[in-house]
Amino acid sequence: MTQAEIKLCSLLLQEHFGEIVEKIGVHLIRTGSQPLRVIAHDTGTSLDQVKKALCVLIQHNLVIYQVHKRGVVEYEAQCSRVLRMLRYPRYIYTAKTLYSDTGELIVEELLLNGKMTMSAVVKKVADRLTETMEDGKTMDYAEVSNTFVRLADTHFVQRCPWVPATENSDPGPPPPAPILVISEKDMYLVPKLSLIGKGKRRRSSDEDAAGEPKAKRPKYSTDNKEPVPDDGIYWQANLDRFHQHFRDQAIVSAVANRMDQPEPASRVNSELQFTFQTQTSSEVVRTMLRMSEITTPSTDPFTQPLSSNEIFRSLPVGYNISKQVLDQYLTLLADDPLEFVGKSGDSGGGMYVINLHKALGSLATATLESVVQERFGSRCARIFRLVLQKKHLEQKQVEDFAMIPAKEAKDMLYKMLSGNFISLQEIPKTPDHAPSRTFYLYTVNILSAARMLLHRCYKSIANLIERRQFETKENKRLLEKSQRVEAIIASMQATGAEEVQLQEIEEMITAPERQQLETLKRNVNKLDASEIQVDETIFLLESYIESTMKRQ
Amino acid sequence: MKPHLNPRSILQASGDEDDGLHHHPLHFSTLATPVADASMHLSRSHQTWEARRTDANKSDAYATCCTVFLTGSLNTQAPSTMASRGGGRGRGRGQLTFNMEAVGIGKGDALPPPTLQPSPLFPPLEFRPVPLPSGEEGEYVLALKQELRGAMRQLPYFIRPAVPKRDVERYSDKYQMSGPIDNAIDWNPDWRRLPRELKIRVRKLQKERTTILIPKRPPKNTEDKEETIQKLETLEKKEEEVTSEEDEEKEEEEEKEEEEEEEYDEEEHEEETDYIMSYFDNGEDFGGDSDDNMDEAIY
Repeated sequence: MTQAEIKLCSLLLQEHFGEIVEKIGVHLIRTGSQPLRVIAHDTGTSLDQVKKALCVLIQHNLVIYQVHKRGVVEYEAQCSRVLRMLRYPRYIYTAKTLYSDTGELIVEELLLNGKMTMSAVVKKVADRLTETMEDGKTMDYAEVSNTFVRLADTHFVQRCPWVPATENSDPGPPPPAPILVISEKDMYLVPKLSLIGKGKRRRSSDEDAAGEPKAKRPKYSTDNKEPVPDDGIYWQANLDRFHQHFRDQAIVSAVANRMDQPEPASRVNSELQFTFQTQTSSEVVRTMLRMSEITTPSTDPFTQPLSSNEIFRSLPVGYNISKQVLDQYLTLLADDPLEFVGKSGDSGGGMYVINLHKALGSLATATLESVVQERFGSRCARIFRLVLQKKHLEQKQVEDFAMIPAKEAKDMLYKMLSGNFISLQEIPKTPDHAPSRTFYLYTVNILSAARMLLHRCYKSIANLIERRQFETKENKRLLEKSQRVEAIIASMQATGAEEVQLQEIEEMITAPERQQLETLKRNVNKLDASEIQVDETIFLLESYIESTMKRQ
Repeated sequence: MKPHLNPRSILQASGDEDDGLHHHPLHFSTLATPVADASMHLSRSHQTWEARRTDANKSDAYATCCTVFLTGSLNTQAPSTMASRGGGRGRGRGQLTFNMEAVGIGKGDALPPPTLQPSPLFPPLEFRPVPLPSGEEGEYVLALKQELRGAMRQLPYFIRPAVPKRDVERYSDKYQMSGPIDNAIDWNPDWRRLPRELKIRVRKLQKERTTILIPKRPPKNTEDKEETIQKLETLEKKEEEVTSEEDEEKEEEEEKEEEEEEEYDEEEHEEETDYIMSYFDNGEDFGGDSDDNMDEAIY
């Protein structure tokens, strides 16, 4: 784990779980697998605090434990999982686009709580949805359950490893830690529950829930004590599936940008909605990806070959293009130099695959190009693209091909060289590597440039988070004051105050203070939006690096 | 941040020192190591290379290396600064190890001024950054992010460090319970899935028992008759919740740890007060107190 990653993990843990958990978590990330007492000793925190922190971390799947010989339990942190916390809003938004508000809340509850049983999730989500609905309407558990089952069927949520049921009674003392097992086929199996009920609103003591007399309220709390039918079966969000979805989204939008006409302004931007005829090529690719969702594991370099007939049958309903047009599009896609789609055979009207590894490589390269362009200017970008295309170029050749004067070309090359986007390759002419008889060629090593950029992204997000915390801390006093004023105004409105009084209270915050608050809000929003943006870049680069490493 | 004597920093604008990914043009480790290749022919170049090698043993590359790389024009006969990183084994002073023309620096060219200090903390941006994504999706995700941040602070998973003891012990401290009792967790994890050693027993119950079972406790300051009645009645309640022998072992363990716990002291004070904790009413919620085991009349 690089220093930048550890710093980022530390900031994330501190923001979401507090300082104690941060201290323990960072210590584990730094030092690897450790038993409980050693952690307490090394970090200087009390044993109880360490226990609390470990419980929280294990609950959120950030730390795993293993039983070693002689009963010692060791805990290990998963740094990459901690970094996923940056992406939680994106997961939740995706669930919203696919399964609307119910799905969104289910995924949100699962992410916030780490793992939960299905009945607990359903109850909580129903309650939350009922809150937002109009008076008198409640959310039925069945509807929420249905959405949950759909999420499980499409693998967006999965079961956590569970304690195996032991038939024999253990003669000796129970093991210090349960060994959790997981089997592939059971991972998405939804238990047969008949959850009957409706969501309940949180009511103040004045109003009652619809029709419930006060006497019934204590009964509600005792419901928790009854044994739940799906006790012990915990669910978590399946982050890999979300990543696969993001990857598909990126590929489809890349194809759309490249091959489709620009969309009309009135088009609604949503994944599964019907698209206009101008978006055919991206629609074809999207269909192919959808067909390979469950069949192809996400780490494969190619999807399974799909025949043209199959694709034709699986196109969205109502999308009426003829078979010949589809074949033309497929041929066009396969011939494209980007090589997203490849033709692997001729049976069934032509077998086509999507070249996932190549697609990720192109996306990573495009990211690099755009970074060079925004950082150094478009002429530098031209040189960069040139070297990418020609693979190896000498100094003189760069000047000639790029049609840029020698001095400037040299300057730009060195700027990119010191930024590690371009590297030098030496090719000796003689065995003794004499420098006067060696070729020095400029080249772009995409993998190492991608790693460098990824490292930089981690640093940027750490900087952004620090700056945001600094800004908030600077204006802490003002923020607290404005919160107090808001609370006072709210309570006064509830008790029915006059306009004049409200005006007076509002004037407690002076105009310059208001402006300061505005500026603060704008800055914090900007910083947050930048974090989200950098996280998207991180996703692309990480996917590319992972895909490349798998192939080696 | 390495000092400016580092040859790398001279051509670098940015100051990242952690990358191991450099393929710096003047990074000569590949050239420095003599290749003892059996197929290497004895040629004129080999002889000159031998000669240079003896030279190099005398020089200490790093001492002279790149104090000032190239001032103004380049003169290959000038004192060499860009000796190899391998400790100067390779080349002698006054000679650069490679042909500068090959990388495009001609003779007599003006080179950029040397870098004498670390790069600035906030380097000036040459180009304005691209605007951030706006629009419905961007704003929704932004609002979601901020909401999540706030929500996570309210969840029981957010562990706040214990409030440090104030300098002077205040009377109200005895009556204000801050934070979860005795480091217990606010939520209930499924203990079947966690290692047994992570379980923290709630010590408040234990405490009541320890005061009864182990008479070594310092005697209470005031032995109110009502207090003993109270104690007996709470003891009745607690005996219904008797746990296994393990608890007793845990108690003894915990007693040793008890001195370290600040909260313990507060709790002990709670025990020693004249008033029963649950009966204390600081006037905020009138009539909401529990009324159990009270022999006194309620006014």
